[in-house]
Formats: sequence, structure tokens, C-alpha cells
Amino acid sequence: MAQYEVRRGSEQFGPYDHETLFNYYREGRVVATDEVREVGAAHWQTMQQFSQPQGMTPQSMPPPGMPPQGMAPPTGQVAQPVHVQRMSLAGPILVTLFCCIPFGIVSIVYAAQVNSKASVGDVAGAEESRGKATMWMWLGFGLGLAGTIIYIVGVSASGSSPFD
Amino acid sequence: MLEREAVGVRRRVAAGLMLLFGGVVLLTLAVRHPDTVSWAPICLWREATGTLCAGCGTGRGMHHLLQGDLMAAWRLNPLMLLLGIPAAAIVGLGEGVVLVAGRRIRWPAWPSWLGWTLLAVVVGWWVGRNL
Ligand SMILES: [Zn+2]
Repeated sequence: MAQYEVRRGSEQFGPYDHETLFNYYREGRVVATDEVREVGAAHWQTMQQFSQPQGMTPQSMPPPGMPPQGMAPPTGQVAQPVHVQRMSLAGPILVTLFCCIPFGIVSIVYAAQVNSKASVGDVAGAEESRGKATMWMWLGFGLGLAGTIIYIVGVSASGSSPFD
Repeated sequence: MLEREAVGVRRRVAAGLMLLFGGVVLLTLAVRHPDTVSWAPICLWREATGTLCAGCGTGRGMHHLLQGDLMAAWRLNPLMLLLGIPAAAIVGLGEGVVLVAGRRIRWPAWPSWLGWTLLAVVVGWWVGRNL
């Protein structure tokens, strides 16, 4: 399923799937002047250009419990789109293969959850998964580090020149 | 290409230490086969279960790779060549840019399915190599 990134000034958000983006636009978290592009695409277009051919419209009726439109905050103060910090897969993979421990696998599972959760708009869940992925990655790295240091000390202490 | 925000000095020092550590590990692996070092700890997983983990063979594999013997490295752990080296390159490049430029690389976002696919590949390899 296509994923979209949103840019406002220098800040970048997402990626979101089509439905999430649509919902954010209707809720006013993403506005017409924000720029959007499909992940991997080279060019940005404004949300307005992007949404028109698809019949996407921003929220025209205030959601229940919100102040009437006349009292709504000016466009410059709309709620920020949700920013989910990305999780690299390279670290967990590295820990799994080079530190030789299953902790890396746990880290890959949580890292994979980050984008899946973010793409359905579960920001809190994505952040939680990112925290766990990072924690397991460093635990695995720590164990691998300890083993590697023992190996390096072993090489240095094993008498003959390492360059023989 | 790079994120706008600069990282702190401590983060740059950490990047430098990581790269230094990586360099020492590579040099050590290049000159000495892990099995010739009596103190070298073997994999905890293999020690505990007697089966191979997904990463078993990467130490010896790196030794052969650094000595130019690609086939020996491939036989020991093909996943190291297919996934481990690219992952190491990504991390190494990222840390290098942090050290030199003081900013992080802005990588393109990876799609959700990629994480699950890599997980399946690693777990499949882990199980499959023990059958
Ligand atoms: Zn192992």
C-alpha cells in the first residue's frame, strides 16, 4: 500500500497510508498548504493539489466538542501532524548477525512494528515499539561488545605476533 | 540529504568511538582467525543449545572476507554477505557523517513490509540452517 510523507517548512512527518493522510486532512492536522509526496517520489505537491483529483476535502464541519468554526484557531496554529521518529533496521540487523544473539531478533520485531503502527496512525504504539527496539538493540550490542573485547584481548595476549 | 538539526558533541564523540571500535574489530578479524584464539568466546546461543544462531559464522566469515576469500565467507554465513555487510555499511556511513558533519543522514523511510520481510528471512535462515 502506498505510503505518503508530509512536509511543513523544514519539518517532515509520516509516512502515513492514504486513509490516515485523508483523516488527518479532514481533521485539520494536515492543511492545504502542507506538501505531500509518495514515499520514494522525487517531487512534492501541496496537499490541495494532491487532494483535488481524489475528492479529498478538509473538515468543513467542526467535530463534536470543538468550538464553532468562527472560534477555531487561525490556520497558522493548527494542530501539528504527528511526528513519528523513524527506526533504522540496520542496527537491529547488525546486532542479530554480528553479536550472534537472539536479542537482535527481538529488536527487529519491535523495529518492524514501528512503521506498521505509524502507518495506521498509532503514534503512541509506534513510539513504544521504537523504545523497545532501541533497548533490545543496545542490550544485544552490549553482550556482543563484551565478547568482542574478550576476543581482541585474547588476540593481543596470545603471544605470537598477530601479523604472523 | 542531511537532517537540519546538528547533533551534540557527545554524539559525535560516540560516533568516533564506534568507528574506532569497528576498525579495531575489523583489523583483529583480518589478522587472526577467531578459532585460533583460545580465549575467543563462542556464541552464547550455540553454547547453550548446541544449535547455530542466525549470526554464527560471521566472525570466521569476516576473517575470510577480509583475506579476500569470498567463497569461504559465503559458505560460513551467506546472510552476513547479503544483509550484514549492507547493514554495517549503512551504520558505518551514518556514524561517519555524524562524526565529520555533525548531522545525521536523512534516509528515505522504509516501507512497513520490509521490516517483516527481513524478520522472516533472518528467522527462516536461523531455523533452516539447523535442519
Ligand atoms: Zn551464533
